[in-house]
Amino acid sequence: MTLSVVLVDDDEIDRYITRRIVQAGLEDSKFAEYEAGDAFLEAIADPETREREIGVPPPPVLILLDINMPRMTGFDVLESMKGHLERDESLRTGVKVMMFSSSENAKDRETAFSYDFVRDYIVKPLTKQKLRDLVKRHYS
Amino acid sequence: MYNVLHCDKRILDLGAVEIREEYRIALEVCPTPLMLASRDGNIVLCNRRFAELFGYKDGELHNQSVDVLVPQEIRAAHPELRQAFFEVPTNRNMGTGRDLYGVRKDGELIPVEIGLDPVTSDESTLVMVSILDIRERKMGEVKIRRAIDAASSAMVMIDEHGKIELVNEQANRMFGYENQELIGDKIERLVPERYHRKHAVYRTSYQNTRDRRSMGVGRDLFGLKKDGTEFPVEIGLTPLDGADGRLVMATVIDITERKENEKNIRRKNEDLERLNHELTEFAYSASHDLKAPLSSISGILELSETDLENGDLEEVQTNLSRARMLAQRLSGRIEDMLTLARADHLDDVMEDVSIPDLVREAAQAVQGQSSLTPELTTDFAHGDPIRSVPARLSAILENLLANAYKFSDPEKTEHRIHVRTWDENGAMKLAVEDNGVGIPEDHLGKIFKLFKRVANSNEPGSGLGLALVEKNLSHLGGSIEVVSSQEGSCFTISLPHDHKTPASEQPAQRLEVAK
Repeated sequence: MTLSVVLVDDDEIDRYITRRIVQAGLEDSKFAEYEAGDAFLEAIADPETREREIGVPPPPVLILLDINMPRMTGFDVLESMKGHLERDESLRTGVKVMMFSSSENAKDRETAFSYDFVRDYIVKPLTKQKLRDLVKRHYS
Repeated sequence: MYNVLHCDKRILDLGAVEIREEYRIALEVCPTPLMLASRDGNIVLCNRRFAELFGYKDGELHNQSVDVLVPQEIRAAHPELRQAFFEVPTNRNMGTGRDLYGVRKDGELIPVEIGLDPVTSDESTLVMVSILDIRERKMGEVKIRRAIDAASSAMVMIDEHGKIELVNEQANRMFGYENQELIGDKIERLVPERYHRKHAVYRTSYQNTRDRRSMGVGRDLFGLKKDGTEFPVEIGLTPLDGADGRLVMATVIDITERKENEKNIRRKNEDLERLNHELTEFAYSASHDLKAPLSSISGILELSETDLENGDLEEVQTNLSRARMLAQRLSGRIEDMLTLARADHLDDVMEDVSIPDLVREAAQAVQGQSSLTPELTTDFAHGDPIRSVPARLSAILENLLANAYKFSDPEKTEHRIHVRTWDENGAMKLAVEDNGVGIPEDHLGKIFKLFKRVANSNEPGSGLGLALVEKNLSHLGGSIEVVSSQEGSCFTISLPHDHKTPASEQPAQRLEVAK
């Protein structure tokens, strides 16, 4: 399975863990990471940057979005993405957003799934098993 | 009674003062105590019932002065009153509006009602005096009066024009009046002046419905005491229709205490809601911020297992250091949270506190936070020492100074922290000013929240520092203001001089201002 995986997470160690799991589990995949929500939003807003850093579907894009980040939380990012997705047909069909957090808080899940383009809620840390399940669930 | 009198009069009209046997018999058969008196106040004739009522033997009163039947205190004035009657002799009740008493032979006073009828014969005018023994009625009235006075609620009875007819003891006590002071006054005397006009309207419209109900449902009612103070009341209205007209009995309950209790309960509720909210927020934040390092450690360890299998010992080494660092971070966060929790349970013992000493100690404790070694200058201009709780003040100063050190701006060449104090409006003000990175305007509102790390920096932190500052300040009755821009931040705390512990449980006030 070839995917383009995008990680938005402020925590350096978590980015390291996720990067290694994705690279080991999805060998042909493209992997992009952002330390903050605004950097990620800038990248998807600009078609050139997007093509260079993330790629244009196909292959499908999987976004792992951390919730608890300073300045701009994952939910703030979702709110800003709404507009992009409404305007851009290819983003809407080819992108799957999954929330990615150490919190299993029910309120967070509820908020996350109130956005119809959020497909899943993954509890940190990402493991080989979780990645396999996730791919099976959404891409088979 | 008067029919009898008139019948007697007819008989008497027949002859002169000379009492004939027939009259005597007529008087005797009459069931009412009757007496015939002359103009000069002598008893000409009385029946046996009359003599019995006053404790005399039959015939014993004959030719005695009526004054033997009159109470001592009015005996002197009685001849004059008697004279007045004979000048305008009309058929009437004696002493209207006054309580009348007669004196028995044994000296006992008995309450009576007295009817007077002039009886004119050819030669002179006599007066027929009929007596009504009202002892039983009076006793009944006393009983009712006692019952009304014994009632635990205040009762005020008014007539249809709002005039006070009856006030029980409880009502006098409640409104601060005595005895009959209120009788005959307008009921509005017990109502605060601003309601007078409305009250008169309500009163009139009540006279149309005259139903049994509570007054002013949904409105707050107030009573007015004699000394001018107002108090909250609840009033029940009961119409009383009778020979005396369309009366209304108002039952008044002083609800000052109840209102006070309601207020207390409301305040406690608000406190609980706030605590509950804090707790929810705390649980939410804890689920993020305490779990995060643990999740990362777990992820790192899984990777290390893979690396060990592959013999990549160098990566294992790096990851173990990472795991250790995460564990330390977590332990620090837990420690901070415990400190925060303990902040509610410190013994608030006020002591004399020297601010310069405390600032120096706090600075020593935290200056390792920055590799940029900012220069700390001070300017103490308040009245030192102040009365405060040293542990709380230390926590406040350490956290404010830690932030000032931590958020030094590496882009700037000079790094300064300035602490200054002054007295203003009964409070000591202390400002911690830095030329660090500053706080973006849209984050100013969040900085006091638990676990909020708004700074765009990789500085480790629990996000609890300012929450801790705020909590301790609230226990000291203080407040905090923040002004921030790219030139730096300035946190100013205000501590009232006259604060008494235990502290109010109100959250510290705060004001966020962007420069």
